[in-house]
Amino acid sequence: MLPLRELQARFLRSIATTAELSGVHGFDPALRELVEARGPLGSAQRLGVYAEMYWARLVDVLRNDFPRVSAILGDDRFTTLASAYLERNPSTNPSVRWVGTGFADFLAERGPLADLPFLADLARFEWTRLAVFDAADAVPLRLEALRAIPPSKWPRLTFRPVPALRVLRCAWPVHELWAADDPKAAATMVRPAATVLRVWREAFTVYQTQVDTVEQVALRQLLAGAPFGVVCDRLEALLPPPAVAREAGALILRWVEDQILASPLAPSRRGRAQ
Amino acid sequence: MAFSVPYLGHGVGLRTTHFPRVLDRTARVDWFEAISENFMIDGGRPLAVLERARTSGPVVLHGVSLSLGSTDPLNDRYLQALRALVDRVAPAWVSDHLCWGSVGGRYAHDLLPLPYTEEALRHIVTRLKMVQDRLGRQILIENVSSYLTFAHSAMPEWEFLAAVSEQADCGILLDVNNVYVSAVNHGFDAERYITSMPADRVGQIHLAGHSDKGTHLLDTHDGHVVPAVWDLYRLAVQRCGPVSTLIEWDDRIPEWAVLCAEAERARTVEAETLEEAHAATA
Repeated sequence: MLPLRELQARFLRSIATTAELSGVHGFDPALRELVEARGPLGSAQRLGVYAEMYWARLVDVLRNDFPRVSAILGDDRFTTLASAYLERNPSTNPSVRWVGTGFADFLAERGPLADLPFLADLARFEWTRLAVFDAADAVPLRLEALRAIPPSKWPRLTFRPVPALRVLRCAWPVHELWAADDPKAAATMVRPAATVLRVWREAFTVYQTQVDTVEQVALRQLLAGAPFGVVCDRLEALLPPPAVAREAGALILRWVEDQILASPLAPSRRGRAQ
Repeated sequence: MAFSVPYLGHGVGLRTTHFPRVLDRTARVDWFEAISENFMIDGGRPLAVLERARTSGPVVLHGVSLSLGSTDPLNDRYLQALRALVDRVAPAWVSDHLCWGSVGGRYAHDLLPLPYTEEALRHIVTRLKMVQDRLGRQILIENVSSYLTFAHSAMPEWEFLAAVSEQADCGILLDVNNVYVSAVNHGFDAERYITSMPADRVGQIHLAGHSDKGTHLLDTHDGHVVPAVWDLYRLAVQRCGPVSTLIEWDDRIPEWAVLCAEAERARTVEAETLEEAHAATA
């Protein structure tokens, strides 16, 4: 008889080792001795039920979290890669929501797959969409609130991004692959191109758009908490002086429309409500 | 000590397939059961759906990762998150499973079987008391489907479950389908299991479908409740009286009307059983 802790350690090690699935090593003999063989199933087959469920469930979680990566790889290749990832990165969080945390890095560290060099970028993009999907809620800033601010106060105005906003830098236009009707076909034609994506959520829907250099610079300042005046200063390096205020103002309007700026009143209201 | 939870009627699991119906308030059912871990997030659609469900009827929280039987220390961050969710949702009750699912800091995300020994009994009772202290409430624990038993178990599962509930002073979520699946897989008497339950501690019943793999039954929650499980449900109602009952349907989830019809069937079976029992004693 094994102490409970030893039994559990051997059990999890047994079912979470991919080699066991191929039947090469069989299951831990000390564990097998403890498992009753009854009816049509022997002790190894009974452990095998748990091993099969372990891999099927967790690979399925990754398949759901990385649907385009999975579609491009195909079922067999995705299962092989996902299993290798899970073996090296066992879940350490009680929620399956976080099983895929290191998947993009894992793909990147393996070195680019010869035929799919964009895969790690695509995985990072899909993970970013998930992060935005269930990021904290916020009350978006409304145009009326902006209009109420006198022009003299604008230079010191500091906008706050909503939590459901991410900026992602990629070496490939992975958003195009993601949006393709046939990602596998699109994957054969995609070419490398430095791409910066803004990913955000409006209500329950996640959106993404490629951003140009001007918006990249402004977004960096926004995320750093810089006042509007500093945003304009940074844009002076990219735009002729007469265009700076116009472009900066247009960006703010676009961000308000996309609901990526949080209302300054939101935290205190939420705080009181709780 | 006593155990008591309200009778909520016949409910269904809160699953993404039917989120739109919850949001537009066309998902009418006695009550919902939400998987706790699915809502341990910061915001977005799932939490909005849960909030909407709360406004239309009672909600209970059902966890899958408490890992009560694990020999790891209780996961403090998980308990904090659960407590925060409980405070936010104010569920009618909270439940998890009689199993373990993690060791050495690694999670299997499965409901793994325990040996039914005195050592395991002491261990799980101690942890259950700690969890109930942390949450400030009694919880319910559910029997799981299993595919293996340990030769050194000293008692049958039903005795173990009853002992845990008495010693930890918690409730029981009796999963009738799990009783049936395990009975077939291990060759024990499912009726004896049901009739051995301490009726005053059974606060909820689960019903679900399963798959026949030829060599064993697999608890897949992907179809209708089978006739043998309906028979066991009748027996459970005879034993325990009216108990809040939930249809679990997690894979190949049917349209709302089919899911509700299964919950309605449970209501009918319960009513018929209670009527028969009343007639027999009248």
